Amino acid sequence: MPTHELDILLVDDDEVDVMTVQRAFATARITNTVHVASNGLEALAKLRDGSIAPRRLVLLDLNMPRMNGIEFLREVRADPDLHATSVVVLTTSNEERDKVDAYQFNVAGYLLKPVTFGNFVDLMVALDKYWTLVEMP
Amino acid sequence: MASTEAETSQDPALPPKVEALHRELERKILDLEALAGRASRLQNVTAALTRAVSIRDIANVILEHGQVLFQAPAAAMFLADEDATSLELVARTGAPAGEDPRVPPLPLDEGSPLESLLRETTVQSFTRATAMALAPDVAGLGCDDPAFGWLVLLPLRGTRRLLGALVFGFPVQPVLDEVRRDFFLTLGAHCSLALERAQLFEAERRAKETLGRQRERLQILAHAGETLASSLDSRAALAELARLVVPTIADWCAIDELADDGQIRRLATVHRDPERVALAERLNRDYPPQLEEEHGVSRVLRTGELEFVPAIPDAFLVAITRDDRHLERMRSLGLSSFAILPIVGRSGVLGALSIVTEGDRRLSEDDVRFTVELARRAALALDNARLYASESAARAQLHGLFMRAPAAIAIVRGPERRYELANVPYRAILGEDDVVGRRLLEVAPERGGRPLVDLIRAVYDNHALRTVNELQIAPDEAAPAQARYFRAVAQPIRRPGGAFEGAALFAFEITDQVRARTHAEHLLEQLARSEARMRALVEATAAIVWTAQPGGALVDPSPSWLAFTGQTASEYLDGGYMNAIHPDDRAATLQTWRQCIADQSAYSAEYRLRRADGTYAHTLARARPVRDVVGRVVEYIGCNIDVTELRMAEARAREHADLLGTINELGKLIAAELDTQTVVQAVTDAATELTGAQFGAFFYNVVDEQGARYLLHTISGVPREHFAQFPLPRATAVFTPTFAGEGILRLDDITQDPRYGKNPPYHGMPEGHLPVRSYLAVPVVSRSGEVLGGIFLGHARPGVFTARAEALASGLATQAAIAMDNARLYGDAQRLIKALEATNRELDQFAYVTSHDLKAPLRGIASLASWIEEDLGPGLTADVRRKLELLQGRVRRMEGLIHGILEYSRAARSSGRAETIDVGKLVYEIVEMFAPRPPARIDVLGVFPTLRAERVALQQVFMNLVGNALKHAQRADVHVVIEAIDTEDHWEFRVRDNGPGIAPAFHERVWGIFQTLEARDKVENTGIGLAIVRKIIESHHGRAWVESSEGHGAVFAFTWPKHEDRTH
Repeated sequence: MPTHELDILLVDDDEVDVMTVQRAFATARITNTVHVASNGLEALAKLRDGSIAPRRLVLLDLNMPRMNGIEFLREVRADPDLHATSVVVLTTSNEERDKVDAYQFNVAGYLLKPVTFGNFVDLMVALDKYWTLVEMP
Repeated sequence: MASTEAETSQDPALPPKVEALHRELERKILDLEALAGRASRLQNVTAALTRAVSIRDIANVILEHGQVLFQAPAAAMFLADEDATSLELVARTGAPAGEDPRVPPLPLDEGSPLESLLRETTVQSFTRATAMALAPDVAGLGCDDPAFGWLVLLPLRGTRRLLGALVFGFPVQPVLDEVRRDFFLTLGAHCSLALERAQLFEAERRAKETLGRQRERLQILAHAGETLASSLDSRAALAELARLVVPTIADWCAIDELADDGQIRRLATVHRDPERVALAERLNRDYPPQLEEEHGVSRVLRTGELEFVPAIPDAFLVAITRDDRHLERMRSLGLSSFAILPIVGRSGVLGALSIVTEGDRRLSEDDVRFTVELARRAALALDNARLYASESAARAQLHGLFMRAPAAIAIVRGPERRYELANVPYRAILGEDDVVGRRLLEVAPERGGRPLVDLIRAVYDNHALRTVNELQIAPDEAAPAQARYFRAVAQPIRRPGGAFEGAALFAFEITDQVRARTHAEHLLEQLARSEARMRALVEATAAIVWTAQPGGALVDPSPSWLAFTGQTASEYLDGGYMNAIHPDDRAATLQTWRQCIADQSAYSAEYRLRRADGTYAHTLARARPVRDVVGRVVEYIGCNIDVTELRMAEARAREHADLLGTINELGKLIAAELDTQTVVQAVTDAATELTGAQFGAFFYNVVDEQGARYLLHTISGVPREHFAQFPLPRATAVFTPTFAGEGILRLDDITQDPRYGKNPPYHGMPEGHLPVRSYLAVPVVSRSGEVLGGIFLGHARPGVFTARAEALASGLATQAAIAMDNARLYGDAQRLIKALEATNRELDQFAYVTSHDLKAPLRGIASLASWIEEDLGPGLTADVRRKLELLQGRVRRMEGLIHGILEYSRAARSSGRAETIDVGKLVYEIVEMFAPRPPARIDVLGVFPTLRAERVALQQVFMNLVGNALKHAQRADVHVVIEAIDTEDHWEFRVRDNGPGIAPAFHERVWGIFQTLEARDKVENTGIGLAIVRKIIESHHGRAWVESSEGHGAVFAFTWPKHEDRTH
């Protein structure tokens, strides 16, 4: 399985959360390249500067400074080059409002950050499994 | 034994003569020696006889010694009976061994050879053959051995009579020389003496015995009398008799009674040997006597005749028994004699007394006679006892009647005048309970009983009957109203001879009759008085009195009518009085009057009557027919009463009531209205319409949410635009009294008022204002005294507003003030509620957001701590590892707290989805979820309801309470009980545990948020559970509380309303 072909862009301002994702990947032996952006603006820049492979998945936090997740989604969907980008929300927000807003922008999934690390690893494994099965253009 | 007397010794050495002499001498010597021997033996016999007491002793002595004395091989002793008519063998010797034939007594017929022989006081000898001829039986006595050919008969004579005889038998003819004869006679004399003495002894002994027996029987009789007299129960007494008879009289005794139902009932069975009683009782039970039987108890009871069988032959038993088994059992009793005696009382046979002997013992006539006497006494005693019992019952009944009688009864007897009887009513009158036995004057009747005592004294003084018809007895002389009245009779009691012995008093109460009579008298008196008063009243109140003929014509001019109306007598007559009646009322009045004349009934009419001054008075006319003794109408008497004042007052009251009604109606309408603008408009419209104003306005103050005051107004009667152009009313002289709340201003013409028009240029009114002449202004003042505004009413015509209009407007103003106050309060409350709701929402939102935001960094801390632990791995010191664990622990607690805040902020938020919940099922689900590990257990008690409620809320409450109980129990065998109790209007649920309990000081604190009683690290507890429980319960209008004391477990209880719809 060419799992390594899928690049991950992790958009999260919380450094510990970033570390959590990275450690979970390491623990689950997920070898995909992980790019990190700490807010929406930074993420847009990374998506546009070509540093990330075209087969890519954005893991998006919602509550972020400068440009939050919903604003980022709006930009992405409005951008003719980026509007097909696969985005999975990975957040702590369990607000109904956030979920509705996110799906308005056609996210591929809405995941709540698990509290314990073990669960986090499990979630990442499941995500990996799913994405290896999904056919992408 | 002495040597043989008859033998001789021979000496061949002596010559024949000498030898003969010698032999003679020797024989003499031997004879003398023998004589001396006999004499000494006789002495021994005499001595022995002296010692002998009984006849048997004497016989033994005689027979033993007599044999030796006389060398008789056989001897016998006979005794004569008292009349010397027969001889009986007492004892004998020498008979062939082992033989003791029964010898019948020998008859001693006068003149018979034996009798004549014995009459001789001498000793005679006979051959056996002679003896046989003389008295064959004598010969047969022991002398029947043919070896004894000779007999010696020695009669025994006493001082007065023949005592008996001794007989000695010899083989050869005995020598009966003088000496021997004397010996025989001496022996006979001594024997006779001894016999007489013995017979005397015997007689004395018998006499003593008889005496003893008689004494015993007397004792029985005495005892019987005592027993029978002292016994309360006659049957028990009868039974007792049986015990007295045994064993003195008989071996058996049984008592039977003839019961009222005609059955024979055994009352007692007594036997000398108590063990045999059961035997007899069984026999009596198995074969009960039948009344129709021709023998035994049945016959005696039926006939009252004695049955006596002195000796029971076997044939008798065969005859009286019913079957073989019965016979066998009767035989086994070994009965020898019996007697059955009737116990006969005055009223007939009461019972039967059976006495029976066994074995050798037999009942004598004497025994039976005695027992008859005993039975007679028993009957007498029983009769007496019954008589006494019935008499004392009768006495008790009489006494009871006296004591309970509704009248006072007393008996005083004797010269000492002592109370013998005083019943309860009598004692009550005397006011003294302890009366009987005391002297008449000793019982001081200070409380009014004196007249009764005096009555008794009078009888004692005059020995004659005294009666008093209305005896007054006043317990308290100061209160005559409490007096009681008695009809009393006191009469002497005389002895049978007629001598005066005492007095009996009988007094029955007639207070009610007396009171009724006095009351009637009083009523009659009152009636007379009230009649007089009535007459006076009529005269005083009736303006006019008149009379009419039975046919209705008024022929006697009434002076009072003429005075009232000013009519003359001629104007009055021929129906002219009608002219004084108001023309509108005449027709109706006349018709009523004619109808009444036709019916001969009472007349009543109301009409206006013209006064002398031409005004009309409202009068009430009434008339009644006056009848003679046979009921014919003689005339009519009538009167007219001036009711003008009354009618006017009524009219005023009606008007007032109308006004109040209108105001109230309106009040009700506007009180329900909570919007100030609507209230004010309604009041303005009503005031304008009801007062008859052309137009009205209501100016009122309002306070807005910022607290600023401003004036608004409503208009009625004219389009609003009419006023829109005008400025607001100013504090002019006209307006000030109203806006200052000083009072109502009502002017018939405002233009004439000095306050009007002080303000130029248009006399205080803006240009174009509607013309106002009539003016009415009412301030609207709130409960707190604040002037809320004013109602202004106007009319172009002067004098439009009446006092009634003023009252109406005033009432409306009051209602308006109340409604406005209410509306304002309602508005305030609504604003407060909205503000509160907003605050709560914000708070919840805040709690939610805060807790959410707090969670993220916490998770980071937790992750970092665990990574440090992972990354350092084995290089970690124990101390650092411990600190990291503590760090993780705090993180978990923090997480718990945040979770708690979230839960709490959500707790009372209604999901709005009430559903029907089977609480019992819900509770069981929770119990299953906890699934406590034994020995811990959870029990569910009581009947759980089905409610309309939000499932999650109720679930959360139970889970928190049960979870708490398990968590805090601190013991493995925790026992939690969940109960439901149906109270009047709600359900009460109780969760009980056997944990450490909670001191009362903490009962409130446990419900607070983040309050725990244990150190945080000890128990995994955020202190949020109970706070959530209370929040949920209180938001559902329930109540939650703790019942507990330290060390005795705890009960967490809460109520849940039965009707969920009342909660939100």
